[in-house]
Amino acid sequence: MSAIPDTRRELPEFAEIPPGTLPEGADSPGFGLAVVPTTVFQYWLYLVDSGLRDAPDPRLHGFPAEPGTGLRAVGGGVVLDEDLGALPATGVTWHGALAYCAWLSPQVGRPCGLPTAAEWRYAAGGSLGSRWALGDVFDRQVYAPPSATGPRPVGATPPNAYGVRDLTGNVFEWCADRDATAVGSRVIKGGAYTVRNPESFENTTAFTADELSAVPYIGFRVLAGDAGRRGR
Amino acid sequence: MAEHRKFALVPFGERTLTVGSSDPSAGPAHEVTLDAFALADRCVSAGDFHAFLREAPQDVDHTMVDCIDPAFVVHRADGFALRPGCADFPMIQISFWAAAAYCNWLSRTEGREAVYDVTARTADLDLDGYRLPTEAEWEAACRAGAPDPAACNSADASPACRALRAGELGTGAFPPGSPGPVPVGSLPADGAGLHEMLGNLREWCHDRYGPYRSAPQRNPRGAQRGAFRVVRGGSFIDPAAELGPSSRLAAFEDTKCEVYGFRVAMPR
Repeated sequence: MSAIPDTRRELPEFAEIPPGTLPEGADSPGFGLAVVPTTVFQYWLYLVDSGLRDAPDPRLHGFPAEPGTGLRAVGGGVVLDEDLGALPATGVTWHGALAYCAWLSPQVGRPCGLPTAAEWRYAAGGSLGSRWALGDVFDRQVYAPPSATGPRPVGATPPNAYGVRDLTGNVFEWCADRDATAVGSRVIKGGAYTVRNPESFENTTAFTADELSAVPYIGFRVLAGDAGRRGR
Repeated sequence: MAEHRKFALVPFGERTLTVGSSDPSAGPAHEVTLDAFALADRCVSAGDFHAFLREAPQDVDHTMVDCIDPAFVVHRADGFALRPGCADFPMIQISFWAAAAYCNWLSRTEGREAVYDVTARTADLDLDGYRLPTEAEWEAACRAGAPDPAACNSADASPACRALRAGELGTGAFPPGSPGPVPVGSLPADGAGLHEMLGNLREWCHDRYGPYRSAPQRNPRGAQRGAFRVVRGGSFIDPAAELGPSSRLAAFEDTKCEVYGFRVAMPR
């Protein structure tokens, strides 16, 4: 079990998901998966380091002018609301999530990317395939308090058996997969504060969204392979 | 027709009629008297709604408009965007209050009074602005037009109708071959000049959902309390046999779904 995550962490902490058979039948050698979604603070460090703070790229992200989600568009650049650094990074497109992973890889010394929907589901439900990340009962107060009108800080749910938090609820998470029928859409998993039916949060449920979407209800979490090989 | 919208308004005079039916879900049948009103001849399109979103994005938030698939409007770095080929499809994935916010914008744009207070979640239907139709108005208009359930975009739609669906055109991320909406005004008008009253999308009405009473009523406006609103007309997922002028369903007012859309009304 991991401790309560330090929400000022500059780099993600990874839970190690053991080798096993993914839901679609493929074998996985195991992988690291970020304990919580990438935070506003972590994404901010990437924006600063890569020069995107002063020249944001609409293909990678789009932040609102209004406060509330941690990163704000101001005068052609981006500013951080420091007290909101523990929120999940949102307003990040699928391409922006991948770009963050590419930036992160050399810093953690592991190949980084987004999980496939099958890897996400395996990390959430384990080999027994629970319905939601913490079991077969939908606890609305834990996963998705009905009063929520925006993202909440990461680490709000207890860890599951692999030590991963927040898989169910808060914000959807980009996955690597292309959608089979919708051109330009990518899979998102886990449900968000904007949806209500328990079925929408189930580990097996997959929605898709336009890959250039920049919205406050989609974030992402990083998958890390083994340092010595590709890992997936 | 105004430049900022693609629909026209059909006038209906003051009238007394029987609404509801002997079906337990739509009964008891009872008499209503309605003041004159006007009802849009088709649902608000994605193009219509997008004009509002571009001009007044501050009037909605992301809990009111959903942009995950399927959707005709997405939200990118520079704001709400229409997907290619989607302008004439009906606006979907909007809550009751997003529809109300659109009505207010339309009222402001055309110099009328805003009916809804979206923040306080209240309404004043005695003002002259755009609003959602009451379910009695919707039913009166549907009875006047007498659309044929067999000709609409229901779960039992004809092959010719299915060919118009979003999925067949590769629009809105509706999977090919799956049920989906057809463009507004794409099916023939009914006897009152209204398009797609039955089928296509369940339409948000103004009323909070509540049981009917048998006593005659004048301008009924729904239950006093509750978070469920009436939706009328059925959709592309509903069997034709369940569609008719009196069929009514309830929907949680914050729900955003690809089977809910709306058309506007106003007093005359």
